[in-house]
Amino acid sequence: MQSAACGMGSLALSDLIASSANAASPLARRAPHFSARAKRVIFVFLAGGPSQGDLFAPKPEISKLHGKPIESPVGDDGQLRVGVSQFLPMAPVAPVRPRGDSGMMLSDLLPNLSNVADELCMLRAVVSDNKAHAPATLQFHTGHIAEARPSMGAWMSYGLGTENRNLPSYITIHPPRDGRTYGSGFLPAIHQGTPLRVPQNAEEPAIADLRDDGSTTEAQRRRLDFLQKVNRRLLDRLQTDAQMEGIIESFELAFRMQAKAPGLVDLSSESKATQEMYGIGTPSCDSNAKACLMARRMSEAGVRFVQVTMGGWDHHGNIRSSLPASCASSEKPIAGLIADLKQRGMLKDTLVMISGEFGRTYWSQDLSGTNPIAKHGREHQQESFCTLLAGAGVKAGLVHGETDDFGFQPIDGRVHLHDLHATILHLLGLDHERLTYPHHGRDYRLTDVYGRVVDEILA
Amino acid sequence: MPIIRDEAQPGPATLRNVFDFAQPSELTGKRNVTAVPTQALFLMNSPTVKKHAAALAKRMKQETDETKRMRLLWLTLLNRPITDEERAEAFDFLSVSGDNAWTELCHALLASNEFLMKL
Repeated sequence: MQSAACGMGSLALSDLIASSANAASPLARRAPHFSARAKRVIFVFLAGGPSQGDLFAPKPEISKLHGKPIESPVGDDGQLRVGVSQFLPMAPVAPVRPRGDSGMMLSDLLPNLSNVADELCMLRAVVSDNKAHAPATLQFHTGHIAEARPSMGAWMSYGLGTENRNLPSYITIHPPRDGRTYGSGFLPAIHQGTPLRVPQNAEEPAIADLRDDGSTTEAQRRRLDFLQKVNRRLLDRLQTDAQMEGIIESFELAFRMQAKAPGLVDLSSESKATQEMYGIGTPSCDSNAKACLMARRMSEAGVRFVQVTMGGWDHHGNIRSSLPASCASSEKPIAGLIADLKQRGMLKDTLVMISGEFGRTYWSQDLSGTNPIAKHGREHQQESFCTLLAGAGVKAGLVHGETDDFGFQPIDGRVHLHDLHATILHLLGLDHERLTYPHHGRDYRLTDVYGRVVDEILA
Repeated sequence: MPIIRDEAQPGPATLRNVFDFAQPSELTGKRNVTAVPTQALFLMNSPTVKKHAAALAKRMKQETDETKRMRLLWLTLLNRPITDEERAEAFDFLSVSGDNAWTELCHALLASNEFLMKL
């Protein structure tokens, strides 16, 4: 009887997910399971798969064999694991040297990050389960390669609530295109990431429609009260509906954001020195620099999980010229973020994670089949790659894990994504086996039925 | 079957972008489903929604009897008759909402779950 087909409804939120959400205020702050080392997380996602062999973990054996055809280092089933007819070990495109007191290896392409090397904890044998960008990206964010499971930020929001009721608990700046990577899955919808973008010019706002100059706050509140009364009556009639509850909550949050967010996204209040520290004003990295500074401001204001996505790491060809450009666009902003968190005393309770969805092979890839090695790139590699951590609760200056001479299989300190997720939750004071949500007849976790906290890296 | 488009979306894309419309360059089997505050901000503050609320109010005002107008609004927007309880609430709302009261009422209903979700 009530199947009107009108207006924006057809464009809007048609998928209704029935679920058993019932908390009166789903973003209310909740105590962790045990004493937390980290209060918040900033995740810098290097989308595309940065090359760990070029940046973080050079292999002398590979450099020795540079450009010489070898047999496949992969398996003994005769199957080539990469899409070309021969494998040419390829030395790093720039020197990789020991840095800081720890001697952690970092490329010359990462001069600013090298300056904060002693703050970093490098995982060198991280493993995930899929070789293609979309499933690998989804797994990095949700633990699963295909399903619409809740993203890690959503789990953290669900587990701990928010420190600032005027802001979302989870913000994702320049998010990956797949909405599932910042989705809430079967968790209450209010836990999903709120996307933001850094304005590319003075006219463009970071958050659209953040204010309505034509209405007073009182008129707006009156309208919202009426709207919510209508919404709640409908919800009562339908019993429970996670999506609708999420919308009702999102209106209240949006109303409060109007007061708080405009000041937060205005970076002009930051000192010139701070802006330069991140690389703001340098054309090659300006956008990422602003994103990182905005991330710090959001974290400072109490947002539980902030993600900054930086694209451009999928170097299948000509990595010699494209990798330096990708580094130039991102490494100063990331280093600036870490140094700024440190100088503000925030690094001790903020966990920073820097990673791609996978890494790249130590041997070259040439999709044309005819290019000289100087023009080659590298193929995806999920069998092992590097993830950087910094800050709260992790051992600074530690390098954990090692792979074989070809940089392929882990031989020590293997960390599967499930283990990484379990460890991040642990640092936040959450037991990954106890942070569950009932769905489809069983309790689900971020780590599903897997995961081990990597004690070796805990400070 | 997924639809492959080779042209950018025609017209202003704000509404579609805010509500997870698939990007034209992407293959998408299924639309994303989200409920984030940026969507609420759009529904509360965007010129698009405000313009449509004003236009809807203007159209409704062609009916001069306010009780009949209220019934018409519910039929037009929600495709069902208004209940007695809702009518009482709506008139209460109008009585405190000043000169733009009907636009405000239309605006609230355009942002409601019942309208957005076609329930």
